[in-house]
Order: sequence, then C-alpha cells, then structure tokens
Amino acid sequence: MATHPVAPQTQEPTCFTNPPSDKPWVLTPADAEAVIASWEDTREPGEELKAAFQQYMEMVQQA
Amino acid sequence: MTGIGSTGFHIEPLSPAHDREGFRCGESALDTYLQRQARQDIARNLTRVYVLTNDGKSVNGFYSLSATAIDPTSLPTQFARKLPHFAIPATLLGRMAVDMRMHGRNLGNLILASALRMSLEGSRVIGSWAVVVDAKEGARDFYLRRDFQPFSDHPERLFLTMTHYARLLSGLSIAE
Repeated sequence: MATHPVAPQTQEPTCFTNPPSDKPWVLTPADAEAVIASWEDTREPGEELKAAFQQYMEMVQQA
Repeated sequence: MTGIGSTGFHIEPLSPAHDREGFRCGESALDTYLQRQARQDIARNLTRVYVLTNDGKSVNGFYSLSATAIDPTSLPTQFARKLPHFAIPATLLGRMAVDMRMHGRNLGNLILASALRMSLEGSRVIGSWAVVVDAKEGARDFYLRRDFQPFSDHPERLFLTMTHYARLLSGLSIAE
C-alpha cells in the first residue's frame, strides 16, 4: 500500500483570541479566587420569583 | 398552586407552525417583530425565540434570548467593584410579550421563568453572568418584584444574576 509523506504541520498558536480588553487584567491565583467568590449574588430569592418558577414547573409537569 | 391558568400551556421554539399573524400584545413594535423579523433573526443566529402556546399553533406569548455584554461601570457599585474591568458576558431577554386575550392569567410569570431557566442552562455552556432586560415603561415593577435590579446608569435596564436564579432552584430542590 502506497504511503504518502505527511507534510510537517505548521505550529499552532497557543493564544487563539484577543483578551476582552486592551488592558491586561492580571491577578494572582489567590486574588482570582477571592474575586470569583465575591461575584456571587448573596440575596435570598424573593417570593414572587419563587412563585413564578413554581408556576413554570407546574406547566412543565402537566405538559 | 392556585388557579393561575398554566394548565395546557407549554413553551417551544418559534416555528412555521405557529400563527404569528394572530398575535396582539398591544405594542405594535413587539407584534411586528414576531410577525416580520423574528424568523429572520433566528435564521441569522442573532437570537432565539420561544413561544408560549396551548395548542401548538396559537402564540399566547413569546420571548427572545441573545448574547449581550455589560459594561461593569454601569452596574451598582457593590457589583462593579467585584467584577473584572472588561465587558461582562450576559444574556439579553430582548423581547417578551403576552397576547392581550391572555391578559390577567399571570402568563408573564411562566414566560419569565422559562427565559431564566433557559438562560441558566445556556450559561453552563457559554459563560453568562446575568440576564439583562430593557423594561418597557410600566413593566419595570414586574421585574423588580421578581428580584431584578436596575443598572446604575439606566434605571429601566435591569439585571438578575445567574447565581441568584441558581440559588432559587437549589432552594426549591429542583433537579438541574
């Protein structure tokens, strides 16, 4: 069976996108962990949002 | 649950089977969008449109979702100082309406809950920090009562974080 020489592949880049801003955003791993933890919205869900979702679940269960 | 009129309804992606021409919400821009623009936007991957229907044909309500970005400086300070200083990915609840003939049946609740659920599921594939909506005049309180918060620079523009909605599901022990 004939074999075909494999052309050498060009080197793939390691960075495929630009950062979202032209200003670099650099954090240490510890900083990043703290920031990510702080993103959380700590409020408790309100009654009307709960009611909306319960109504939605009722519809889904009846479908 | 009390009688809230959700029996027999379901939500599905907009398709040619739906009677878009019969939809009337009282705002011609929203009616026209559904009748003339929505299918084109879907075909061009600009948005996804979902309809509330009780027979697979009638459109009793609809909403659209697409990607957007939030300028973190437009958020309330307690959020802005905790977020990275570049555009924050989010999901835009671009259009949402209920047919006038269905008014008074709390179907907005169903549509909003569906939109939030769909947005949360999408955020597990492509990161999204919050759902954003530009509230029509008179609808702002509807969102505020359901935990949305206003942007600091645009009080009619509101957001609800994915974390908050996920907490609701967790609290209700909903399998995700």
